[in-house]
Amino acid sequence: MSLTGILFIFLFLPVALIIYHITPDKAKEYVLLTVSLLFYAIGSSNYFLLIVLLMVFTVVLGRIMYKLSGETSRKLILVAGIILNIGALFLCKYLNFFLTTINKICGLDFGLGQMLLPLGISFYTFKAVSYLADIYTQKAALSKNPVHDALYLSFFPHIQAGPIERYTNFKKTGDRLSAFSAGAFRFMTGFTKKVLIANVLANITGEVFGAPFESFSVSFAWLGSICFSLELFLDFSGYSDMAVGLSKMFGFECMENFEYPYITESVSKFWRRWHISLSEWFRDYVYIPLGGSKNKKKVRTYFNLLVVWVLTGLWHGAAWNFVAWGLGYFLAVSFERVTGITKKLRSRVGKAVYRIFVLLFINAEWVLFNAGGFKRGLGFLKRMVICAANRTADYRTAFLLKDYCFFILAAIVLCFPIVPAIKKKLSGNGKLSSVFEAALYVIAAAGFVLALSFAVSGYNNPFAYANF
Amino acid sequence: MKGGMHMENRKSFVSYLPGVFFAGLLMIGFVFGQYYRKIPSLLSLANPKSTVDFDALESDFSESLPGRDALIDLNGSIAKVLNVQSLYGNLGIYVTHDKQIVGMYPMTSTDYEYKQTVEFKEFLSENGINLLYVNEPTKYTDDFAFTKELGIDTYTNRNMDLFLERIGKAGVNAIDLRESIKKENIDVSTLFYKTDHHWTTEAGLWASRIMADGLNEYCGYNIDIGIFDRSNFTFKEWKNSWLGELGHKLAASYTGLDDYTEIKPNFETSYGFRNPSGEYVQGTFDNFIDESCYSKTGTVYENGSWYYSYKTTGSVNNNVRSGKILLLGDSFDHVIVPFLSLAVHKLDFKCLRTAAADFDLHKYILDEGYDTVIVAYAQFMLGAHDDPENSNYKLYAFDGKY
Repeated sequence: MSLTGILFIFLFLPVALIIYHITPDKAKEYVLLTVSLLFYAIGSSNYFLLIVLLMVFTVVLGRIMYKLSGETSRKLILVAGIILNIGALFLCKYLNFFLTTINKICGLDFGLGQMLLPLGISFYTFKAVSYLADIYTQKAALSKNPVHDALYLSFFPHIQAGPIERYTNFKKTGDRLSAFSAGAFRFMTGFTKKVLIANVLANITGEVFGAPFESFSVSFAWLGSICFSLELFLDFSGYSDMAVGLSKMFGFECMENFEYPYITESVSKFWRRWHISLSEWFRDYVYIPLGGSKNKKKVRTYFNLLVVWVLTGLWHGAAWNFVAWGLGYFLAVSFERVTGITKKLRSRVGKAVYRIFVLLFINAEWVLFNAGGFKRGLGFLKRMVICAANRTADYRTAFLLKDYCFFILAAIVLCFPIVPAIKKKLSGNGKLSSVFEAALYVIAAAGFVLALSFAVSGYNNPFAYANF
Repeated sequence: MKGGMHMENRKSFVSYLPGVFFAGLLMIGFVFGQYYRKIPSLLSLANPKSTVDFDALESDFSESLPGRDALIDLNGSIAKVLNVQSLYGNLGIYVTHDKQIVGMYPMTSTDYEYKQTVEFKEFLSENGINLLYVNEPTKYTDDFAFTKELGIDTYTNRNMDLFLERIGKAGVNAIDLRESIKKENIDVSTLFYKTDHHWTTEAGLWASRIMADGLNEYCGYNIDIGIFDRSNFTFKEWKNSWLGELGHKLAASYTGLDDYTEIKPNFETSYGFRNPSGEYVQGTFDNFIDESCYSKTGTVYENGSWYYSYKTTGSVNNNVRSGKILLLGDSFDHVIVPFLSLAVHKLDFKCLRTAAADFDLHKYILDEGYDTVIVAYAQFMLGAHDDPENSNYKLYAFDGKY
């Protein structure tokens, strides 16, 4: 069930909100857990039992580990919990990829079972691992009620595409009414970004990435790749806005997952702005445990980075183009580390030029990400620099630019922190600040209604990040 | 102090507005759309054995959303204001500068259709039966004009040129209505509804005259084509009355509505109409028309297609002595069958799209004793066989093999 679906917005959500808010405080988490499990059952009924069993075992293991004091037994439970969750993820997501690779290398013919991916399995697994690891390192103080833990693992706004919230951050908000309103605003903003802009841009990217790119023009390739970069940002950050909004509406805090990533100064900083919860997860549960950057030998740091980026690639998909995509980031981040280029660039022009280079790099990476295969990705990138004579494709580019200019411009504008900048400027002026706030609400409400008109008119696509 | 409190109150009031608006909007759907009644359908999706189709349920919910038509019109208005011609390109439909909804069609080899048509012709010749192929045009007769406006390659006219050339060389008699359009200097878009892919009743009357002329030329008929003169018909027009199938996918606010003209002969007619059991029931030309289709009880989105008010019922014209024709066609022939039936004794219609798997076309033709078979397909049916998922996949399977 998509968060942008009519079924969700006008049936599931009102019912869930009404039941939740009329339930006495003591029982609220029980209700929300039931709602979350129901959401999962509706969205992925075939894997409902699997996810419930994983969740129960994880919470039981976490609770046992929390009570134990012996280091060895705690470690054993941690390892068992991680193997259980990562094992399930491997079976569901990576077994086919693994067997295909083995078959290719060894010339074997292991049978491959076709499995549909359980809803949000990657997001769930990472939350489960962080839950167990935080208990092991005693960062997390468990709630008295295990239902809170189960709710943390299955909380429906996060299950489909994150954020990969930490157990310690999974707290209730203070003022429920104002949190509900702030949540509604965020939900409407995210819905508008996703349905009104990202889904429309998907028209262009679908056409470009679906075309036989051997014959299309350089401009067509560039248009498709840039629109994909914009689409993915608005799609995923739109989802994250909706997740934050829903969390608030149900009275829970939720971490931010994006911070205007395309205004980044460097590739390294890009990942502190894009899918923040994933980057932080890899930092805290892979990079630092491996030794991070505090090693005597520099080569060890780069090895740690390599592991992180290969895993980041694989997390996004069980295919070689995702591995190549991760390796690309490893190379870029390593380059920035080795050269210290971001610190060395002092002039405005130099910094601006490097920013452009970074954006071009990220754009090229998204091509690899979306091309549907490593070779296809390389072919697409080649087409972005080497021209193939095709008049129609050039005309098509011009037509698409003309046809979708409003949506492309709106997408570009949304990449910049214009609203926070205005808010900052008006912060000393209460009256103007209120007027601006009210204007924002009106724009969000109008955008939501416009976006609803697109959703109702059949303009609804699944979230790009819902497949992980 | 007072001013500060006042400001604080105002700020808190403003900050609640999104919550009030959002909750109100949700309640509109939930209460006024009576979505609460559909909770069991939603819950049924949680059952792994459920046969309920999620997309169908989502679509059903969307249909019953209060204010849905207004939202669709809002969507169309945005597209119109922003002048987005390919907003629904993902559905394969585009809007031209003159607000015609058009489609694009990929290149096809025509091999399958050519082989089937030539073999069918051979079968008919062996049995002394005429074959006449009629190409019913699409909304544009020049692929390059389409490409020039929308920047997309479309091949429908080039596909048909190739196909007609090939079957012509194989001795199949054919009428290309595009040639008639050129000859009579007709603006092709006037033959079609702008919000529907079908052609108008007037286009049907016009094409029936040309097909009758073709029967005279190629099949030895002696039809007085004066019967199709406009003076022999009455025309009743409804202005801005209905929204076509393609218009339903976009919005009335984007393309506007279509006019509709009902055309009936002003002379006396007498028919026997073939009912499903094969028996004939007596009637007149009026029985071809189901006027209940001209419904205005609901909104343009709720009302059905007016185009299908003309029926393709098999008939025997009691006023004409000669001509036993089987017309193999598609939905374009809803406005052909009634008019063409005025000129021949017996006219039956078959659409192979809906034919049963065990239907034997060859046997059927011989059993019914037709002297002529007309194959009259919309131009874009060519190539449908390239995609097994295409609903028109079987249209050229004259030998029953597809």
